[in-house]
Amino acid sequence: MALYVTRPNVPGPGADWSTAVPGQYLYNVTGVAATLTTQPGTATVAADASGNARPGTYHLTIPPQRFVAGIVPGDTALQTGFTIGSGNTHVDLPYGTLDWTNPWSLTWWAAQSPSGDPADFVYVSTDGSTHVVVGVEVARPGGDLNVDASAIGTAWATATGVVPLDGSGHFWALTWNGTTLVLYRDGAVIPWATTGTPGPVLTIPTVARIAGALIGGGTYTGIIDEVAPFAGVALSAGQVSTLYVAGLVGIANYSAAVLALTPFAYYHLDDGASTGRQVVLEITDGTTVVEAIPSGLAELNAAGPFFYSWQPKLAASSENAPAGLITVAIPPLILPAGYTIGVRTLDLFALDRWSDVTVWWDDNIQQALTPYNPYAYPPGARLVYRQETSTP
Amino acid sequence: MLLSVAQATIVVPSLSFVFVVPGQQRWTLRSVRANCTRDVGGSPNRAYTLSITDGTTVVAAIGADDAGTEPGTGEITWAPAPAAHVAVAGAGVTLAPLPPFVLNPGYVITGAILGAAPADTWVSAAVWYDFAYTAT
Repeated sequence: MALYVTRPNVPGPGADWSTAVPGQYLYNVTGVAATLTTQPGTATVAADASGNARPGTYHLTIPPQRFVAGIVPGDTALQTGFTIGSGNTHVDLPYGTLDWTNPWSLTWWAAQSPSGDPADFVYVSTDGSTHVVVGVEVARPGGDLNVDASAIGTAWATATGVVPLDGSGHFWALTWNGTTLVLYRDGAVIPWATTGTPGPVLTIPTVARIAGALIGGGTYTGIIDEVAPFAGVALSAGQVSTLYVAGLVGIANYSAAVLALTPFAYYHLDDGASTGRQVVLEITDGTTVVEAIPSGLAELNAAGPFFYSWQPKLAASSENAPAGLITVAIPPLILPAGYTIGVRTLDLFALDRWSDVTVWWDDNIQQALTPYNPYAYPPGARLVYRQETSTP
Repeated sequence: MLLSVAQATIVVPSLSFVFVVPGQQRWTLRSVRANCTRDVGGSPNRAYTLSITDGTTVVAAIGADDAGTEPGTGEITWAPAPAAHVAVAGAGVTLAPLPPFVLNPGYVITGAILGAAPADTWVSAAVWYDFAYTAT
């Protein structure tokens, strides 16, 4: 009997792995191992993907706050957005941005619920105490988008009825170049119904909040996703359009497009698992799934990595959650050529990644069924020639 | 060793599927895997069973748990491993232990949904087995 280790190629992020038994082989699987590295962040820290180390803090206060499928089209199954009912759930950012006296931009994806609080605050920057510097608000029931500056209730600009309150997802951008405030929805300019003087500069922003008012009332009702403030730059119409088109392709393209514009910060708002990841070992005959083997263990909600080991002949599966060790009891697997072994991860996230996949098998059964032809040497065999001489 | 996979013929909607070991074959079961759709109203009593008869008498019956919210899907595997089930939202995946039974010609394998909701149904089912020819 010989023992073998096969190291299948692993896919990139957001994909499960599988491998096929090559022709003329018969695997008697001794074990399978793999590592699942999950997206960073927890449900308390809103990670900053810009690389500028400006993380936020989630305040998940009232159910049914949860992380759900993201808004970026084409990626709703994997990327998560952040949904809030009527309550005070928000993300606090201890970094001052959107000082209206200097150019700035703000981009986000949002889906407003049909009903909710009269004031849905997308993003607010303040001095940390009493003064709003720049606030972006969606007003119900009309679906107006208001931008406030430098005083509570002072509407700098209003776009009437431009926010769909039907749960549909849209891409939004606001830019200020020092002279003109521009609003975009799905890459197209939305005209203002009213504009006014922003108001006197009262303070420099030192804190900000996503999805909630820092001063006074107002929360957020809907899904908000991929929030990115830009300091010192007003994105052009072309750049906004590029972001929107990238979002239509998927989260990988969108994320790359945002980072290429060097945002002040970039919040995916996907740091919490929605319903957790569950990994199923899947065996096929090349066409039909013949076994789908779950672990039966608690879902993985924390940050990884997680080290999986699938072993036959175990009495039970086991899990050490703090260490991220999961051992799954599987049936004996004798897999002929063409059969595949792999995983299907329920609720796999876009940046989750499998690595270090190993299939350990022996040829015990293969040898019993088809012993090596004495004239067919296995790989690595060395032939030694020795000439016998005889003395007459 | 001759590993084979057979698919059941299921006419939706159906709460059962059947495999019959053909004449002159002897099957050693490796697994039975089936998919179903689960409608609202089955929980908490819904369960799945795999019954084996000699054509007349039930000789084995193995239950499997339901998993997942409703409405949703169920994926149930009977295989030689400890029982387990997981779910993400409405997608439930269940494993129930199945010994490597050896079945003679004429033995019948039946999968059923118990305590089903009105619109529950099997969608597909496959049996993975090692078969040998037999004279009878």
